[in-house]
Amino acid sequence: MRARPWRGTIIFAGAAVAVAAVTVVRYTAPSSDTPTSSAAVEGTHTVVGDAERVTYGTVQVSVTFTGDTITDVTTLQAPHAHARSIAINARATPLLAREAVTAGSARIDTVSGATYTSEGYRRSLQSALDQVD
Amino acid sequence: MGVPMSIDVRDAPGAGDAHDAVAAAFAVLHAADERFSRFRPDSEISRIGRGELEPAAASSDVRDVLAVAERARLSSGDAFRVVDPAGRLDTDGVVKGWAAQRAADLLLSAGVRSFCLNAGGDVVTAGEPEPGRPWQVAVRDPFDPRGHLAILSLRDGAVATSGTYERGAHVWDGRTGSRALDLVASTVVAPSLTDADVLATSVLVLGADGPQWAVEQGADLVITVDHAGAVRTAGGNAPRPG
Amino acid sequence: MTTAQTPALPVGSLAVRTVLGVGVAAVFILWWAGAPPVPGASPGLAIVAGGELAGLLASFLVCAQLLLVGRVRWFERACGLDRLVSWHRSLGTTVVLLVLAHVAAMILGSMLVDRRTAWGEVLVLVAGTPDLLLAVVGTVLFVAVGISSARLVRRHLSYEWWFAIHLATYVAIYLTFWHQIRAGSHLVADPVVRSAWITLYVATAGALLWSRVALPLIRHVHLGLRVEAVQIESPDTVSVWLRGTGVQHLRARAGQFFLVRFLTPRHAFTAHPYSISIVPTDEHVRFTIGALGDHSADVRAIAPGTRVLLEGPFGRLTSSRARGRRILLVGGGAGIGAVRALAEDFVADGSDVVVVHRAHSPQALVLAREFPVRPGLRYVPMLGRRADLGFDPLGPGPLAVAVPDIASREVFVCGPAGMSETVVRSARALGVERRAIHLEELSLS
Repeated sequence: MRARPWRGTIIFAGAAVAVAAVTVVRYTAPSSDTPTSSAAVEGTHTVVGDAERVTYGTVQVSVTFTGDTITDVTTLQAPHAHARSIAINARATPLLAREAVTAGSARIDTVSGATYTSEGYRRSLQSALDQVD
Repeated sequence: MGVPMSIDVRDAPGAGDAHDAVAAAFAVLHAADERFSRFRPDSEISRIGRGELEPAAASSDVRDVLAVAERARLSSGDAFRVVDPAGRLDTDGVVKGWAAQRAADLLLSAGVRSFCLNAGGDVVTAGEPEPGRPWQVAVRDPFDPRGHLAILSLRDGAVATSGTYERGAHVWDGRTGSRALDLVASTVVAPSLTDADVLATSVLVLGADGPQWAVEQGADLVITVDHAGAVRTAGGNAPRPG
Repeated sequence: MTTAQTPALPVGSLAVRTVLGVGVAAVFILWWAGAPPVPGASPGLAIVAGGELAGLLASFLVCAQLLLVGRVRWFERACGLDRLVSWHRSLGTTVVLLVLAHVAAMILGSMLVDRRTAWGEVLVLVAGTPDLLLAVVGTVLFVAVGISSARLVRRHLSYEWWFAIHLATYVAIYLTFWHQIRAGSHLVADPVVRSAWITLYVATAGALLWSRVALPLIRHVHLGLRVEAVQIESPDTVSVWLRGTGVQHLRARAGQFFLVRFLTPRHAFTAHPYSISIVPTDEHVRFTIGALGDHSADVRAIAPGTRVLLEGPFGRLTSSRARGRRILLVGGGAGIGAVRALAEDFVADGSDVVVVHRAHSPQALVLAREFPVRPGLRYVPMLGRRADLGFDPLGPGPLAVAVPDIASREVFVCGPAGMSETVVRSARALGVERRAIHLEELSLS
């Protein structure tokens, strides 16, 4: 009836093969050696954490320290499979990086600290937050 | 215990319900404060400490807490003990987290879906403060009351911090009796505050071995700081220095 | 209705294919850049990533599908509606199957990573992913549309029913769109990509609204086309005369067709492709419609004065396809309308035209009176059912007798699929070059 009856199926087969092939290529390529640390700028060093298995997948973060201060956090990999973790990571991990760095403008809801003395509490960030709220 | 506590509620079934639930939560915390106080001679803890009351005959709350403490002692290899070097019963390391978790459970069962409870530095969160963003829990910098070490993004979870920078050497090593510890602060993120609290104290005692041990015990994230200011971590989503 | 036989690919068609290819490549690159990194990736994670690629590709192709048959001017002029519809059909299979592959891979990969059973994982995904439940409903609709368009099923559906089911595609697209931008990891993580994706969909929707709603309405207001008369040509064929101002602005050529929508309660919801059966004058255009489906039979009941919306003109079966001046037009069924118009066109510019009209009986010789005896035009009716005759009048033998010089003519065929195939075979057997044979599919489903 039609000139090319199986064209649709052929195109799909081609597309499926392309998708599978590209995925396989991406995930079986030999991974480059990840350096455990590198000194990029004077006084800073970047460390790459091990890939850690967590509830929803695998997380690996690299952190750049200047002295002992965290100046940047990069997510190398984050759990992908679980939808909730996708939402968490897409929002949390970039947030963690951005806000950990710009301390002045960080939005903090609460502070976890060792049990306060009243003195310590008065001086602490948490007491300031409580007053704002 | 005498610690400052705050509860931040964002999403509750109704305004009236929120107030009731929060009031009930504070009541739980106050009740625990009294029941487990070492400074009130007629509290169950004091009486057990003096030998006037058998633990098995105490109230169910006390038995719960003691059971938690015993499990912690066993899994930490005696590092965590509720009996201090002078032989007195001191459950502060367990009760704060346990009571705060109780209060949080009460909020949840009252239908409050989004809240952040902070009991003296131990935090339980649920839900989201605003749609689309998690609770941002800062971890206090041991050396600067107004500074923070990291910001953790949580939706449902608990964060407990144990440290010697506020109340001095109030934590001891159950194995040696020593109050001199390698670490200045430890923070543990776990699903329940009871666990997080106990693990945080244990990690503080265990020192360098603490973080990995805690992760094996179910912690999601551990951050420790030592006297020199070096930060070590374990667990997912963790920055880890080489 | 027959398949299109296209001459060497015109440049326009190549341009459209190139644009499509570039878009597909962009999707692959986008996915590669945003897929989770390799170190530490488990097989489950890789499968999920592959599933996301399938989903992204399917989503992009959905937009392509909409534009292909959206009657967007640029595409139609470049490619021809028949070719676009043909591509749309082939690509349709791919889209539906890619969507299913996406669903399967996401479930499989996630259950491997989370170490749950398939059903458990499904429940968790649906509970935890924004808008996924909507997407599930949308996917079911996609599958239904796909099934209804499969050859085996389409045969048993009337055009109206098939069209109604096909409209559900719009709903399916709407339902599945949200989980892409609210939970699709490549889109959620990167606001630039997310904006681009939303733009793609908005632009597609805009193009469609313009071409399929705004333009026809504007034209309608401009032309004010109404039915002037309905002429019964035969028991199953009617001619509908339309009248309006500025019909010449339609720029319709003989052999082309319009999507015609009569604005009556019964007919307003479907537009049907009908060929014009005269060369349009300043004020008039005519369609000759055969009874092919429920709708066509009702056309005779349309009252004069009814408003009409036209989309088009479409089609490339025009006199400019002829490479010479000796022409053979073969028509049957409702295809005689296009033949009649083409004959007028060819005669007007001096070609020598032979018209072969295939019909079962004299009463079925629709429009016969419009082929008067005159120099340059020879009209050859071929009557009778094959069963009664014992042979096929359009077979090589009889055709050679009717048109001895067929090998020197350009052959245009308009009619049912079976008839067209026969004519093509006979013509080839009689020495007509493939390039000299012209036909076009008139079906949009």
